[in-house]
Amino acid sequence: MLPLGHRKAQTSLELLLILSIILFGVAVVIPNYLSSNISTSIISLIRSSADIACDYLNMGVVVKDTNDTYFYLNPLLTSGMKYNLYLKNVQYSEVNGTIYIRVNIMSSGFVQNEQAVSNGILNFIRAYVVQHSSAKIDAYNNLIYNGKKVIIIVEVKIQ
Amino acid sequence: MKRGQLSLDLLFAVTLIAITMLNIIYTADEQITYTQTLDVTARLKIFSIDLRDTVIKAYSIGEGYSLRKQVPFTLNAGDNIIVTLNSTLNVLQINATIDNVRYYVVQNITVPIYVDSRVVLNSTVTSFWIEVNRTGDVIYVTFRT
Repeated sequence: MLPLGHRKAQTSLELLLILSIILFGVAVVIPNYLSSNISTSIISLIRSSADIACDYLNMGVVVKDTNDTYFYLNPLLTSGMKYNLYLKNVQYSEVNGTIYIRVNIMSSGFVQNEQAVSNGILNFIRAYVVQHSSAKIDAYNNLIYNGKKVIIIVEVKIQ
Repeated sequence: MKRGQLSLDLLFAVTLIAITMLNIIYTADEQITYTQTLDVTARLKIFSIDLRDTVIKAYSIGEGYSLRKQVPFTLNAGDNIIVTLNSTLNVLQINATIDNVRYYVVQNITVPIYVDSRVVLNSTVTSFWIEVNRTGDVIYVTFRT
């Protein structure tokens, strides 16, 4: 029969071993989990903001609230233009730590100035992302999200 | 020791639950604000389309025809809706201020307007007349409270 002291030491050693295995596992899993979570959240943010922008332009009612949320989209509506836009897809790629996101928007009607519309939507998306996440705009006017540069490209195509 | 451990676990759990709850509340609050704005926007859009169609119908019916339109909102004190017929651009414009948010809608009118007219609707004035008038050979639609 073993002395009690010896058994106690054995248990705590086993516990330490198990704990170290668990902590090692956590250390391996968490960074991967976080990085995939970051890209998912930026994609979903951009997707929802692009959707909001399309809905807003389709509705054609200028809204000026206290935050001036739609500042970048309002110049597109003041002339009484009609839009019929919808979000086709969002493409994501990551090259050398820079995130590229391409937002493809289709128009089922004629758009007078595609460049102005895509610029307006792009600026709206950037402002929305900055307002709803920890993203920042740096001195070179780049969107920085969790230390990564995010480049958004908005393209409006006529169907 | 066992008791202390349990309370620490509980503390962790409570913290995580609190963080999740805060996130949910924040998201819900944001969605509610967005949906409320969208609701007012949609109502104004429908109101503008309704007015546009009514103006065109009234013009085609001709002189002497008039009807009364009701605002499809309950306007509180401080809210107002300004409906304008603009003869230079030939459009119907709606400028509204509801809950300190300003809205603006334009609708093209396919019949000639000739005369500018404008009504201001608020919590006490909630309806107005759309009338068809005639001066000489010119038939035109005006708004009057």
